[in-house]
Amino acid sequence: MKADKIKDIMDKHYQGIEVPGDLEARLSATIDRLAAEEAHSDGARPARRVTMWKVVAVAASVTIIVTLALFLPVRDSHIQIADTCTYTRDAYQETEEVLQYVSSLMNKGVNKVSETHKNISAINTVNKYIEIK
Amino acid sequence: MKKLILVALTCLLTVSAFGQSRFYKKFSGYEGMTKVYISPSMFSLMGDDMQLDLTDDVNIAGVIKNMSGLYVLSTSNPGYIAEMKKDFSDLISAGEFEVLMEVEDGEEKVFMYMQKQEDIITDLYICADENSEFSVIYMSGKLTSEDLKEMMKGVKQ
Repeated sequence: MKADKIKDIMDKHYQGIEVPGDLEARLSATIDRLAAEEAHSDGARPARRVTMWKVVAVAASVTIIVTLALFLPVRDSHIQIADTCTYTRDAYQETEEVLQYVSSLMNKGVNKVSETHKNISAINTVNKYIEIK
Repeated sequence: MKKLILVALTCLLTVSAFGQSRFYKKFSGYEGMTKVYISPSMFSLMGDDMQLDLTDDVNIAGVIKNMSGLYVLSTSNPGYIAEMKKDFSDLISAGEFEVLMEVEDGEEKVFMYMQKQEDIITDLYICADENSEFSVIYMSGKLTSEDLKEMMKGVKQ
């Protein structure tokens, strides 16, 4: 009863408005086409299934890699290089000699810098003298 | 999974190269090479040993206290020198080093490179080529520029 009443009201309201005859068929075809497209796209991209064992395998691999990377090389380095000196006194003397040599090399560089600085000052003085003349 | 294995191998190789002198390991095995290695453990022992006579000439006690490793390689063999020069150049270009000093005086050449963390010198590489003797010195630790200045004060050229 209610549906008929609504239909009557709608008919009265839309009286005089022309509706194409094939509208229903066109709408139906469009709905079918969209439904078919949706079904096709679902088939092409199946949902990813992440299983528990895969997660465990990746976690275990990462743990092993990190452990190996952190501990293996450290042990290796201690095995291969041995101290040159057995006693601290010898090591101290050896270090002292090396540092004296390094100091002399550094002083060589510093002396070169002050030498260059002196030369620049001399050149500047000569330039000033020439300008005054 | 293949990618994971590749990443693992890369990690292992990278960490292997870190923290040890492969350069020293390679050349210390060469016949006739003069070599010195003082380990971090030895340096810590030196710091504890109060019986050591500190030298009056050089103020190195402060430097030694802050050092954790010393590697020295020296040779006059021309073949070794050429190889060392090449490897040293590769070593420097592979890392992020700051030039501390470069001195060229005729045939004599001295290069110093350092790595810093803020104001602390953590690594110091010295390469000296003088009188047909070629030396590479590597020092690691926590040195300040004040330490180096103090060290230089005691030694005059």
